[in-house]
Amino acid sequence: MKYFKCYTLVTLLFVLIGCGGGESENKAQPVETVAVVKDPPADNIVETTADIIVDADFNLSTKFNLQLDAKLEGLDQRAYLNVCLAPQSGEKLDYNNCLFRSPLTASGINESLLISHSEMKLVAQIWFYDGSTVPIQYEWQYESNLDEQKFMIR
Amino acid sequence: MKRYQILISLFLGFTSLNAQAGDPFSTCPSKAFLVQDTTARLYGVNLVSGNAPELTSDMGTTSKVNGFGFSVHDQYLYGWGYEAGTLVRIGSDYQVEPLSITNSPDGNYFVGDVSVQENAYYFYKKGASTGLYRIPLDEASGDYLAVNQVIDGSSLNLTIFDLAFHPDTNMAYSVDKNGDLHQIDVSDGSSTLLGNVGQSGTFGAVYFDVEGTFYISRNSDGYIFRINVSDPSPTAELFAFGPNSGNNDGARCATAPLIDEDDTSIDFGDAPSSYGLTLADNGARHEFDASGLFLGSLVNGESTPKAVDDSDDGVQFVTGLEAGLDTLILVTSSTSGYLNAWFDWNKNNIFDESEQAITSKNLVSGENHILLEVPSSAQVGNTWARFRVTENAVVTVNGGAANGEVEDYEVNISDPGMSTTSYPGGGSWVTLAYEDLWPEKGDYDFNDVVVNYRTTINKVGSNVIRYVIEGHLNAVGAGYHNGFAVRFKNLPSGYVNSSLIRHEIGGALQSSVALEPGRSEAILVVIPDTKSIYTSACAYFRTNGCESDPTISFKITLPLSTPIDASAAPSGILDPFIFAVNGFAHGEYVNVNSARSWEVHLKNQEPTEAFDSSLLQKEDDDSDSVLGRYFLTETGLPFGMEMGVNWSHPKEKVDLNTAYPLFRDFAETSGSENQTWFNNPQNSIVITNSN
Repeated sequence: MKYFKCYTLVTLLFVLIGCGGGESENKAQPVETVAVVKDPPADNIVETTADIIVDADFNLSTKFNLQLDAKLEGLDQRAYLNVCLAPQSGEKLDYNNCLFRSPLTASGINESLLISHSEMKLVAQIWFYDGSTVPIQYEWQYESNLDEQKFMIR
Repeated sequence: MKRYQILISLFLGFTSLNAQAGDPFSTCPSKAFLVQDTTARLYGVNLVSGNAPELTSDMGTTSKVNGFGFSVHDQYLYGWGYEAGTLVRIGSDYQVEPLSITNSPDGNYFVGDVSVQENAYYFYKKGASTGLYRIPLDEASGDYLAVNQVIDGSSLNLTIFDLAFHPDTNMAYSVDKNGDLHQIDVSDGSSTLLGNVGQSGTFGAVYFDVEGTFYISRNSDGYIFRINVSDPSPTAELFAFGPNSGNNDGARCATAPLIDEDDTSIDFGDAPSSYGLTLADNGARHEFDASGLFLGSLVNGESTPKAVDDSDDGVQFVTGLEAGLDTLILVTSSTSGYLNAWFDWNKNNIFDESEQAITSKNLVSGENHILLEVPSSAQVGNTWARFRVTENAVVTVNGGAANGEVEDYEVNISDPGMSTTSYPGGGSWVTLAYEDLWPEKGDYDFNDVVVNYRTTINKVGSNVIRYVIEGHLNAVGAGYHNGFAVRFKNLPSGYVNSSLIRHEIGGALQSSVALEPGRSEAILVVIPDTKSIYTSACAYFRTNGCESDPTISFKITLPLSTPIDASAAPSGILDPFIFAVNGFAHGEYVNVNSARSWEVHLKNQEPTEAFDSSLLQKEDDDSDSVLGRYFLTETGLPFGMEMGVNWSHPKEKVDLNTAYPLFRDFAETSGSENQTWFNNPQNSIVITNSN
């Protein structure tokens, strides 16, 4: 073994983050667990992947939860919400590349969405069925300073 | 018009700059000829689409040419020239050359063609003083250009306006003004009534193709019909919309196919064949113009329909298709035109006449917002829709059109109120990559099994009603036989409507049951054996050469018979894993006959009920079920990983950290650094995936 084992006792507190439904990446009952985490030593020599030391509880995925909270006050007509990948500059929104599509009612939508990596940018559009040709539009991108990512639509 | 001139040169095999007056045509063209007007003008007709660009307005005559036929013997056109009152020959310069025939009957004639089986021109007019005549065209023959009457026109008394010879027999065919199909034996002038084809009018131009299919063009509206003359009840099927004219006569090389193999001027649809797809189906098709009218930003063509038409980009379903409610669609058109659309609302795999949802809708250049009512009787589930844009207002669900584009879409009809959640997005992928030597460490090239992957979940209210799993098998760098499956944790298998599961691999519907039997939780076997599913000239699949081998698509639709509340339902990536295939060796710890009990999941995903837990903690595995840790080494390395994009995997024996130098810091900082390490490969040592 080319690394030095270095064990650190860490107390991890998993906190249930409120979600609208579905299994969440962070979904867990509040539980206190004592975990052993192996920190890679500063002088760890890495030549191949086999030399890399990874936290036992880190699953190497980059996905995270985004809490979608959409509600239009006074909504009294049919409406439809699309949350889609933001188009490249100069391109149009692709409704075939949405993360979430749903009728929007006066009671609103509270939904936990899974985002595959932090560079994804989203556009939400609310369309009405009244012949209007321009939707209400909102944008979201990852904010690294927040513990919980949220997309608020009002 | 420049485009047409280029096309004309191509389909006639004729290069105008080099042609000499009177030369024969250089090929037997797939396109037909049409002569119209009282001063003859010549057109080239694409029977596939009905498009008929003008070849010349000056044929060197001041009057009509009729009784038109193409000779496969010398590759000249022949017809009756009204100005000279005799047989004329027309070469690649499109100029009329009168021929000196002997024993010529009086008058002019508008019915005629050149036989395929014999080198002779036949022409006909009904009436006691006229009839059916034969003119030998073999210059070496002693009776060259000597007219001989076959039968008088009272004995062969047909009200026909053109005739055409079958490519394989010496029978001529025509349809009279009442729609009766006649077969004429030109050896004795006898005729047989084969039946009424269901269309009437003046069919001034008729043709055969090499398959023996008969085409008739009606003067009044230009409609082109096709007829199977071998059918006991021959019927005229609308085939394309051609040009109309008061005076019409057609000719075609009857030994040519209708479309050349290298012809990419036609855009076909891509719905299943039952909706009308290929030329044999008389499927929807358009002779497109990339600088003219089409949907979206792209149009292209093919000689036979593609499995997936990559130019279907003009229709966006802005809202869900909810039964009984309006839906909003966004149609982008390159220029003004007319839109017609059909939806298979009743899911009977055809577009019924009553299922035309949009009729002759005016489109403006750019975006068009269209509200469409989904019938309350529409069947919930996946079905197909067809959109056709044309310069003319009228088009049928199938058949050829001379301009515009067809776009077919698979759509989902839902109950009112349904929401759709897709991970990582409706048109995006994540990648799953596995090492298959577990419980021993592998070589960390992470290409033993590589799939791209997404999940879609449908809910009505708070209840999940359906899952969809789809992706592509991108690589198999394994010697072992591994299957790929997805576990739906905490979803009882009894909640699944197993009879309605739809499972496709490589676009082919699978007959085997994807839901693994005998399990309490729902487990879908997506690919039963990744090692057996591909064919490649290389030892592995897209890891060590043969990179252009096509990836293999998969899709499973999993409807629930018992909806499950979203708070308890599995969601997100679900639990994708690989398993060892029964009957194949998979290392020293795996029993060949119960190999299925070997699984590898993403790191810290608990194995399924089918797993042999005695394998945990053997060799390099450091799983600890108490701490919820699975499929990891003592140093925390995984055996399965998820990458947040459609990932380009390392080539065979290329170490992951060598292919992706940013991986180390990402891994060692628990994702604090280099969060999109997977976007920065060493390009020369990875296989690029772009599906």
